Amino acid sequence: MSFLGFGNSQPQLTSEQKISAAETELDLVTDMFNKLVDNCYKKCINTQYTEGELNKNESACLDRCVAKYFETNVKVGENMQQLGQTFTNAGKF
Amino acid sequence: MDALNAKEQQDFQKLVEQKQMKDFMRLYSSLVERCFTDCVNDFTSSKLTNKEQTCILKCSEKFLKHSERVGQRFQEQNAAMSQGLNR
Amino acid sequence: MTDQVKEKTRAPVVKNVKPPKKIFTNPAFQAMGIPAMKLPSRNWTIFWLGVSAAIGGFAYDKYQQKQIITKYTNIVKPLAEQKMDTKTVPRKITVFIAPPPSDYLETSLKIWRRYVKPVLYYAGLDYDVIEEDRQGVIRTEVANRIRELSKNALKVNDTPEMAEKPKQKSEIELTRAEEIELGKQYKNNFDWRDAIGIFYKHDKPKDIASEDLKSPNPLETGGVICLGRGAYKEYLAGLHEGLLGPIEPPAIENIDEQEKSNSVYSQIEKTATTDLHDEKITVMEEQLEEVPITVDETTTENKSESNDNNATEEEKRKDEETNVKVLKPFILPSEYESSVFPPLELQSKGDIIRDDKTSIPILIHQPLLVIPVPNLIGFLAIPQRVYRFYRKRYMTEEICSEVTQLVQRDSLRPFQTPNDLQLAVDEEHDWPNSWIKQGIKRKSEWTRDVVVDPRLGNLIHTCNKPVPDDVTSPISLLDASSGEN
Repeated sequence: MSFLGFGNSQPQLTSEQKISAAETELDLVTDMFNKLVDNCYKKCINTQYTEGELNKNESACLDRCVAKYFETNVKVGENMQQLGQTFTNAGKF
Repeated sequence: MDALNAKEQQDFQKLVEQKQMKDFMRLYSSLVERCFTDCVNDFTSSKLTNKEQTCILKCSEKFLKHSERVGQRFQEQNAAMSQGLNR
Repeated sequence: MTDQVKEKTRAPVVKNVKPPKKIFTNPAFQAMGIPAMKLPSRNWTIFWLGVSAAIGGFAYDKYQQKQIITKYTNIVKPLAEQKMDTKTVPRKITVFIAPPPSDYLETSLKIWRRYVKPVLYYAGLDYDVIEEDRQGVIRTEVANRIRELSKNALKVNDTPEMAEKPKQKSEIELTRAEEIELGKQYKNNFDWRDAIGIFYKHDKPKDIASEDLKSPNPLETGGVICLGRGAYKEYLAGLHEGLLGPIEPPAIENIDEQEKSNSVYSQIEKTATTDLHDEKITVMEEQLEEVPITVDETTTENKSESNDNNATEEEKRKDEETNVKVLKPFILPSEYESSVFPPLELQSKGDIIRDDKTSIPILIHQPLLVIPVPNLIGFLAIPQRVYRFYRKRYMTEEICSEVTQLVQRDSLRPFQTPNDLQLAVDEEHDWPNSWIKQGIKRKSEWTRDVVVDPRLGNLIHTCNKPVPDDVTSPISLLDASSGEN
């Protein structure tokens, strides 16, 4: 996952720097995961707690929720890039 | 992350373990919060009622199962994505 | 005193003055200025009756549809309330959707969204939708899936020694490029679950199994829904092409196979917005421009089958260069009999061919349901269309009950070769004649007869109602008559 350009191999970095870059990436991903858990819980799980286990409906909902969250992530990334380009282009006038 | 060599990978792995433990703690506290808000609404006694206890049991089971499943799909999606990027 | 009351008193005296317009029945209403109720004139009565009948009929039909859909979703709901552990993935139904001839895909999607999807959703099932916006996409997709399997089977036989080589290298001194490569590998193989709290001292589930694997009987796995007669025809053609046809396209074409299949995939992923009719016409026009002479010759000189086949072959050859997205069939229906089944590459898999990754039996083993997409078009058909518009509840009942049967795996029966070829054939009565004629002339896939090889037919099971014996396709009649002309 090199959303923000982390992780692209840059030969001059010391190993400490590299590790801390990787750490940032890790934090980013875990953060995303935790948000994912929260959001999909809100959208899919029935808070009446009649059952302790997930049922099929909830499971199917979760699968779709995760897939959609990722797709949203990708789409937003694309849009950001496009917007970023128009901004930089505008700056060059 | 792909710039790490073998030794750095080992160091990083240790870091990952620490992170996982921290995340586990965070998970624990968030679970407590979640189940408390969803299940405990009656403050007429200082002890958890039976109903609240079963609710908390189910709530925690459900949440753990939930995050397990989401984690599973998360890993799959990530793998699919990195494969897609490499192509 | 109001003016009106003054008029009332004057009225009998002055004869020429019109009688007052507003008559009050009740002093209370009079005080409020509400005039007496009066029936509207005859014409207005007719108008309002007509309008209310039209709206009422529509509302009643809609209401009934809703009732029917809730009835069936309630039947399947208990399925969704079953527990499922985190390792399992729900049963997956594959849905093929084709637009009706000379209309938009949206027409078929409406049926999917209104009558099929709710039942599947409330049953807690997963579904994979494959839409097409032009002929051949579904066939290519189905065939490609099976071909992929055969290719993988071939690869497994070839490569066990090749895989070991790079590993040996890693022990020796690494070059810069290899180090980067290794880093990438590390990243790709990195298990993010290691960093997530939920898996701390908690085993990561290793084997994710689909619900479809619980039963050894392939009939109890997945399911296939074909929405539209065209989708059904293409699905069958795709199965035959994948299982009986060669893996590589026939030798006539020189175009890079890899490139083509890639473009097909990307085509499928796009959501379909283009008009099927327009697309098809343009493709067909290209064909016509290139081979006008051959088509004329075959239609005027002789109508023998073999000659027609030659013509299609030629058409195909030329068309291949212009039309890359949809692959031309690798095999002709006439060649089905002579090919080997099961294909040599897949023979090691036994009677039931399973997918490599998921080990779910492939589509042909799964129960099949064909749903017609009735779609009349044209000005003269308006009375018939109005009639159908007010009777949609019957269609709803039929579709929902069939989908529920598929979900519950009720009344599955083996595929019967001559009769079941006509599944959803009623839809063909709606196809515009001009379109069919054009299709026949241009060798459209949809206007051809369905051909099922008995060896494959034996594997298919369906939950459609049995087709009566005397049902024939209107296209074959049209075909015969156009042949005589």
